[in-house]
Amino acid sequence: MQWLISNLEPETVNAPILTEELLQAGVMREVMDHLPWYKKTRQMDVILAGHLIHIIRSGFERSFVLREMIGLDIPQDVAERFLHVLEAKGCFRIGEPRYFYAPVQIVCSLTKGTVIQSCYGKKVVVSDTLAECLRFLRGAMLREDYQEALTEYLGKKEYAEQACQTLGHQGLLMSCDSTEASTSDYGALRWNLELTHQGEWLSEDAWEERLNFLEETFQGSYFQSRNYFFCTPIRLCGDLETILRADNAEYLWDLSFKLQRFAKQIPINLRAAHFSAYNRLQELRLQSPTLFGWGLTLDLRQHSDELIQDLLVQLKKEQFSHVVEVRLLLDHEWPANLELLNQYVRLELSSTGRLQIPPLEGMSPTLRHVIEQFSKPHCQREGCGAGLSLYIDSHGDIYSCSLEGGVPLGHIKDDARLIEQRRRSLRRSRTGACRFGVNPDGDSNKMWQWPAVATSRTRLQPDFACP
Amino acid sequence: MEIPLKLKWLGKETGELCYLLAPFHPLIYISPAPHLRTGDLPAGFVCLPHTMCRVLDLRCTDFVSASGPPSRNDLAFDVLEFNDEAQSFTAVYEFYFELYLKNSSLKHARRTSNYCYLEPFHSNLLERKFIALIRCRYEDGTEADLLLRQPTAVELDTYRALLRTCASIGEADVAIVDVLSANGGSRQLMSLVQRASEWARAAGYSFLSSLPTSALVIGENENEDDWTLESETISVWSEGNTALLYCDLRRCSYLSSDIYYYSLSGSEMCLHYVANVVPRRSGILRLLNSTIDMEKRVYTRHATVRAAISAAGVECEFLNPAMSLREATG
Repeated sequence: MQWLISNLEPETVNAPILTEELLQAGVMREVMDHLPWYKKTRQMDVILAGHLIHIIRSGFERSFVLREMIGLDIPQDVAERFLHVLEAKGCFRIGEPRYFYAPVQIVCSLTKGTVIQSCYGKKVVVSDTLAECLRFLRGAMLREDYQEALTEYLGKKEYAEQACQTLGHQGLLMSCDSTEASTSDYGALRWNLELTHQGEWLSEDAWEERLNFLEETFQGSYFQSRNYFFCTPIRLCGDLETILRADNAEYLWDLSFKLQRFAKQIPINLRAAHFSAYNRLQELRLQSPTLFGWGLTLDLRQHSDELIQDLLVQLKKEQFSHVVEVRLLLDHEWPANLELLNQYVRLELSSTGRLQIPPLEGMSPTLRHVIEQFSKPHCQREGCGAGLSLYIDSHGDIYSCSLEGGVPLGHIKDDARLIEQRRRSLRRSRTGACRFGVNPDGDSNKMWQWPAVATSRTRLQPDFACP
Repeated sequence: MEIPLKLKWLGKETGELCYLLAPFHPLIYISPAPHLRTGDLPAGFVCLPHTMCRVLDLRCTDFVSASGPPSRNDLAFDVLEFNDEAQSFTAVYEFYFELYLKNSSLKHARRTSNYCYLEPFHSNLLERKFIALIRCRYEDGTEADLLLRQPTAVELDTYRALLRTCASIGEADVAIVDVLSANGGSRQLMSLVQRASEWARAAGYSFLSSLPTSALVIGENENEDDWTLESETISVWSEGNTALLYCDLRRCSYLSSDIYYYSLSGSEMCLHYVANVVPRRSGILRLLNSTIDMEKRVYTRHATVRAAISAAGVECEFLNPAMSLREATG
């Protein structure tokens, strides 16, 4: 078996091999030339690169990478040549790994077989025997130990090798030499901007400065400069009370013209302390452009259940004309009334600590889904880490996150390249940190383990993503 | 948001309607509209030609491809002149189904749709309007094709009125590039047009014209394959119907792609260009260089775009108050 091992970050898990620098240098050109005619649409180079960066990664088995490339309509000879070119450029080498791990979640058992969700691809159905082989893996496991365990389970060494081979070909088994998380990325994924300053909306000049900075930053990145985003690149935030006091729908219309070039939908997350003026927020939402998606952020780390109670009172009065999106910011405690709240709103969970999730059994399917989403951030591969979701405060200062304790990275008037440099250093220094920049030390630098979840039918495998 | 917002002309109430809509739309386009005097235009609106085309004068201008890679040596060009032989029909249908249809479905063909084109295609074919098919072949396969046709009577009147030439213009003087299609990713378009212009000149044609298109252009990479940007061209527009445009330049300067339009004041034309993309990706400089005989105004709010445009010697109106203030205060 031939495992791809990144030369740039040989010691990290799942490091990308197609780096930003290679993409900027036009490494995709040859692949583009050999695509079938129906694939040669505009922007196809960036769309293809967006798919390939998830496939051509350290730790995958070569035949899996080739198969996935062929699945993208790249002819086999071109795909093989492309891998040779990357190998010749010194981007990766073929080798035997120290550890195996399974980036998968077992979804359910069927009559004959088990559905497995790989976090890098589609759901696949494998035999119960292979699913059982995957269950042997708990985080990273030494290659020899794993093969020994399989030999014991399957009865013969050849069978164990065959099982590894089959799982590797399907991308369900991955390899690594250490459990350090990769720090390579393709620029900041999201910019969170504060909407107000000293109780007022940000001035026109302040927005100009922010737009100038964002445009300059986006130009420096391969994907963002081509308007290809892995998640909504801009999110606005502010204090609910301040926004309602400032109340100006015209301002929001003007702002929509300024921001529409970045995304088709821009979320506005309002930090709420109480909900007395919710009716006014409804009016503002209806008067403002549909570009903006309004949601609430409840910081439950201090207030805990009171905020949920307040919101539930409003919800029970049926004063909401739409489904409210509520993001709960939690520490390690699981709040009460979450099941009830989930019946009224669309929930999203974020945690700055190791959230103690209660047993999933007995929970409603919708809440279970919320938890699954929480435990599987949408960009699980490299989307979670310090410096990926940055924050620009009301003064124009840039921080690694919007919470207290965010690392300052500079000011929007600074050179965008300098900020990017600092962001990269931050990522390198806090490899295990979550997107909020917390938990940077100790064990969190290692492969992330699934938090304490009691056994349930939908068993979730350990993974290295952070919450 | 739909950009531009397209409206029908509703008479004098149109102005009031647009006044109500203007805060919510940076661009409102009304086409066709009656020919109005400047004083009768709704507030904030400018008059545009309904359609216009760009014409290369083959008598005094050579078509020189400045952009793109040089023509490959292994390419073969051939010209199929149309006559009543069945072979001509076979070739043109082969072009339509094998090249045009599949490539236009990928949106490579500029401003034409595969569905809309079938009717004019048949009409021109039956009326014997096509002049020639110029083909570019590579390794026994067609790489790119160009179809030339004669102008209609209405089009001919427009050329006669606006192409300033001593001799009268007849049907045999103007060849129109009806369609230009290339396999996806082909970089041989300009070589093909160059070959077509050489053939047209040798065949006695004086002008090579683009198809009439809207005087308002919006869209990413819209200029990429536009052969009319390679050499100096004369702008020709229909004098009958006009269009009206409300354009909030400041708001348009925040869009993700370039916008340009030709405003019409009496018989004077002016090109307005809102540059939102760096020039190497937009073709703005080629457009400005190839457009002659009219005033040109360029606007941008992006410092990098302004720097690149200024470096090319084009004056540009800067629409960025924050940066202007910073520059003024040093």
